[in-house]
Amino acid sequence: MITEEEWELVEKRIEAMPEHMRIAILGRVYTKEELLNEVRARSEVGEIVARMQLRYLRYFRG
Amino acid sequence: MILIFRTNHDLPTQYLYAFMGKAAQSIYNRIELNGRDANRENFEWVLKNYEISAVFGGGHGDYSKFGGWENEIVLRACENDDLLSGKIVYLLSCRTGRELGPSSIDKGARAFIGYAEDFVFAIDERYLDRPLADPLAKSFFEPAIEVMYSIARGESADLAWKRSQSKFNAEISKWMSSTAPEAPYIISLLIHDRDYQVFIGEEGATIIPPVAVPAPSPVILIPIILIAGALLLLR
Repeated sequence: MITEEEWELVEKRIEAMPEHMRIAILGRVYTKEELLNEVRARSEVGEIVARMQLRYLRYFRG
Repeated sequence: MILIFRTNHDLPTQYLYAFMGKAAQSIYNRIELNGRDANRENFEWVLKNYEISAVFGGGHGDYSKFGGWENEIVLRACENDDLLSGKIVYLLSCRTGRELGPSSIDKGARAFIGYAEDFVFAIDERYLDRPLADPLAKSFFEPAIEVMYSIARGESADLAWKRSQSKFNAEISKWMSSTAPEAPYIISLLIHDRDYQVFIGEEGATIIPPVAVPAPSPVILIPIILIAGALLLLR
C-alpha cells in the first residue's frame, strides 16, 4: 500500500528527472511527461515506478 | 547448439535485439531466429528438429507466457513448455520467472534464468537510432547479456546468474559514485532488475556434458617412455 505522502514524493522525484531520459516498463517506453501522467493517474505503470523509487529510498536509509 | 530467439517489433524489443545480437556474435554454435522469424512455428520447429542445449530468448513476457514477433505467444506454461525439457533457458523479458520458469523446470528444463517482475531499463533519447552506443541502456543490458556469454563459454547456469548479478552490482556502484542527474533513476531501476532476476533449477547445469579426463597412469607411461628411449638410442 502506497500512502498519499509517498505518491507525492514519487511525483516530485519524477518531475526532477532529466528530460532526455526515457524508461521502458511493461513493453512500452515512457517519456518523463508520460511517466508523470501514469504516476498522477495511479496506474499500474505508475505503481511500478512508485515502488521502484520507494525501494531506492529505503535502500539508502538502510 | 544454442537457439537465440529475439524480436524487434517495437522500441523496447529493438534494444534487447541489439544487445542480444551483440552477444550472439561471440557464440559460434548457434541457430538464430530473428525479427519476423521469431515466431512460434519456427521456434517449435527448431526445438523439435535440432539438438538444442540452451535457449536464449528476447521478447515481451508475462507471468505465464513469452512472446515473439508482434507478441505472438511462443511459449506458455503448461501448454508447450515441455519443449524446453533438457535445456538451459534464459529469457530476457518481463515476468516469465514467476510462472513460466518454474513450470518449465517441472517439465524437465535443466535450469531457467529470467525476471520474476518487469525487466525495466532507461534510454537516452539522443541515442534512439543506435542502442548499442546508449550509455544508459548499456548499464542494464551488459549485465543482462552476461548470462549468455557465461553459459555459452560452458559455465554453469547458476554461475552465469551470479556473474550477471555481479555485473548489476558493479553498475549500481558505478552510478552511486556518479554525480550525473540520471544516477538516482538508473540506480532505482538497476536494483529492481537485479533483485527480480531469478535462477531456478539444477545448480551446475552446463551446455557441455562433463568429460572426465583421467590422469595418465604411471603403469602406462613408464613402458612408453622406455620404448621411446630405446628407439632414440637405435637411431
